[in-house]
Amino acid sequence: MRPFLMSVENVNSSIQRFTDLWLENHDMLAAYVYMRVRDFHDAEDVIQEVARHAAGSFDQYDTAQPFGGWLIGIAKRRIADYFRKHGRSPVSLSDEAMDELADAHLDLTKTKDIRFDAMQACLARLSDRHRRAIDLRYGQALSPDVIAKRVGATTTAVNAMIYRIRKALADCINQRIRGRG
Amino acid sequence: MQDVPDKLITAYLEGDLDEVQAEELSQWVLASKENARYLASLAALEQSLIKNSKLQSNRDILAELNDAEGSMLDESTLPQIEWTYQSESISRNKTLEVLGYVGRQVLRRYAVGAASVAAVLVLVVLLVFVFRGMGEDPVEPTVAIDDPPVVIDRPPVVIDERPAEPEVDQPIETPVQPVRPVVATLTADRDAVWAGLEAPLGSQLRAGDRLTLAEGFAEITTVRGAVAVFEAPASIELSDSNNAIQLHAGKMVGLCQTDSSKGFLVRTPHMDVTDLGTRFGVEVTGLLTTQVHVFDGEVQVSHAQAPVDAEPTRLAMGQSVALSADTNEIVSIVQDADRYAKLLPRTIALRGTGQRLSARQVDPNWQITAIAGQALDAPQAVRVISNPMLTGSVPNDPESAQWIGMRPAQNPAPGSGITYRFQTRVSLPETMDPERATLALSYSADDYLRAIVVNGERLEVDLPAEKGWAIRDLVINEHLVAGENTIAFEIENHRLADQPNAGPVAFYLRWTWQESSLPLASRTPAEASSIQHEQAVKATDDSAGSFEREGGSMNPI
Repeated sequence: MRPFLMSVENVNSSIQRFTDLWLENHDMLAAYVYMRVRDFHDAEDVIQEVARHAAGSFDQYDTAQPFGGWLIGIAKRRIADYFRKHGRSPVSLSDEAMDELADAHLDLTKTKDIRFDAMQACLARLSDRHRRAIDLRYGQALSPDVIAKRVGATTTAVNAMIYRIRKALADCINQRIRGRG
Repeated sequence: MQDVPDKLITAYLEGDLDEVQAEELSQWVLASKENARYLASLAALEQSLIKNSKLQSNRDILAELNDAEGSMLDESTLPQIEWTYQSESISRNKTLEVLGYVGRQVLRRYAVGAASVAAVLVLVVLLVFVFRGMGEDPVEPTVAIDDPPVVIDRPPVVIDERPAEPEVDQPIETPVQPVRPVVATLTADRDAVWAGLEAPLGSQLRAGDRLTLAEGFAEITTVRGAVAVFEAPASIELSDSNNAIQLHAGKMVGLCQTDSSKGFLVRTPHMDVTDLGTRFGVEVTGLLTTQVHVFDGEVQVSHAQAPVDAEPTRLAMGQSVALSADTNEIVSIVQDADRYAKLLPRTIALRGTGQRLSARQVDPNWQITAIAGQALDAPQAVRVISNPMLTGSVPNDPESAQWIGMRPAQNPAPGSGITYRFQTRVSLPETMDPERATLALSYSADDYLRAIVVNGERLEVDLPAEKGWAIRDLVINEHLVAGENTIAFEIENHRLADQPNAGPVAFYLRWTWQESSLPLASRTPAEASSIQHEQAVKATDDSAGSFEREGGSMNPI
């Protein structure tokens, strides 16, 4: 029987700690990855990869630094890998802007639970038609092109509508949060 | 916050940004923290919307996972495991069990609230796949960042050889989503309760559909005719192939009883199982291993992480294997057919053609009742034929079946043929439910099987047009009745253009009665049925056009 690297108690507490941190930061990470990798399914693969690498090198994580920041660092490399593997890189914002956005994502983590609750309340105020549009785009992960074909509209119109709903939701959420604060 | 550049942000979020716009938007993001925060919150909202829509179905899956896992390792085993923790010589196997336990605890702890269920699912898979490597190398700390990735969700094997889609000039952010092909049909179920996606009987299943059976039994049939019967709890996914499925969790039996279904592939997280014409059982036991049992025929298995060119392991009837959690190798195990008894069809062998007869003896069970479409007043006898031309391809075996036939009654015109109707009567055993009974055939014909007639009804089956005296498989599942059934096979005897005479007409058949584990009344798929998301889309179709008419004055909230 070969000895374990870590004692089993340590493994266990390490898993527990990783679990807590991961769950705390998952949504932020997912938002960041979705923003960069625009295919929902591929984004999930990338997130899985980030999780794997993060867990594998968890002993190298410097606890003095925010865990989310560390995850974003790993995510950047995984996303770069992803684009390399697909042989193309999309038009992206500048590195500085992406760093600024990553910081903003980290910042949002602090309010993620109330934001999620607020979003559900705001969703409830959407008309059925708009909720259906949201469901097609995010629930069923249909691309705007496909939605456009299905409803007999142009892709631009679908994009515009989804964006307007999203923006209205974002405003609604921000208002609710400011109302609380 | 500066004025929001809506157009730029829309283009960015939908992946339509060009270089100039990207620079412009970058400047806007960098102009103030508030701007960055606004864009981030829009992106975060998008993620929340996805999460929200998945929350309910994921909760169902989790509940099911909890049930499934709970049966593997219940709470009562906890003290023992914790005790084992503290002993120094802990086996890797035990560690995996412990990890499985932690996974379940995580599930229980976080599944209750509105916490990110997706995050938990990622994590549980991860715990097992990453930490299972721990016992292997005491020097290297776990997995290094630059390791080749452990592929957990492998891309589906595409058996259809379609031309590859051109990859050039397709912006990554706006993938054109093709209509996903129909790859299978839900052909039977019993007490089935689905978690998440509902799949009514007769549903056409498309590549990428993921089904979770929470209770009961269900059967799907691939486009190529392979049948997979599942027992809950089970989670499957249809891949982009018309003869393959992914079994993520749970137990199933695979039946490949037709020629076209051979090669049916079942992928589990641990193994690829390819059917070579058989009945077999596969079970993904928890998150840790897969078992494969071959009840009949032959399958081949290969390790999910094996290199593409690795030689697969062939398993024959009666053999069983599992992936060892200790060594990560495929090892032999004792066959446990009882575990699959509820899924396997019950079979009763029928007498094969010429079975237990000697050469040239008349087979009393068969007669020629029609020639060239004309019913005969006096049916003609058929005898066991041992023509080396035939037996060289499909050998006579008096124990199971032999070629039977007769000399041609008429000489067909050169290059044409005449059909002979080989007829027999078989009784459905009283112990079998006529609603669930089928006949599984392995046959060969000299020269062509042109039609099958069951109780006077001609079956609509695709019979091979090409000549070849090989054994072919098919299933008869229509027009069968309780009691006696008259079954006829129309064999065309062909005369080659350059031959003075046609050879003998001959037929070879081995067959069994089968009673499916599920009612077959549903075998004819209802055209209107469809899984739920398709209906949802349709509902939206009714409001077609409303997007356009909305114009810019819309205020959704």
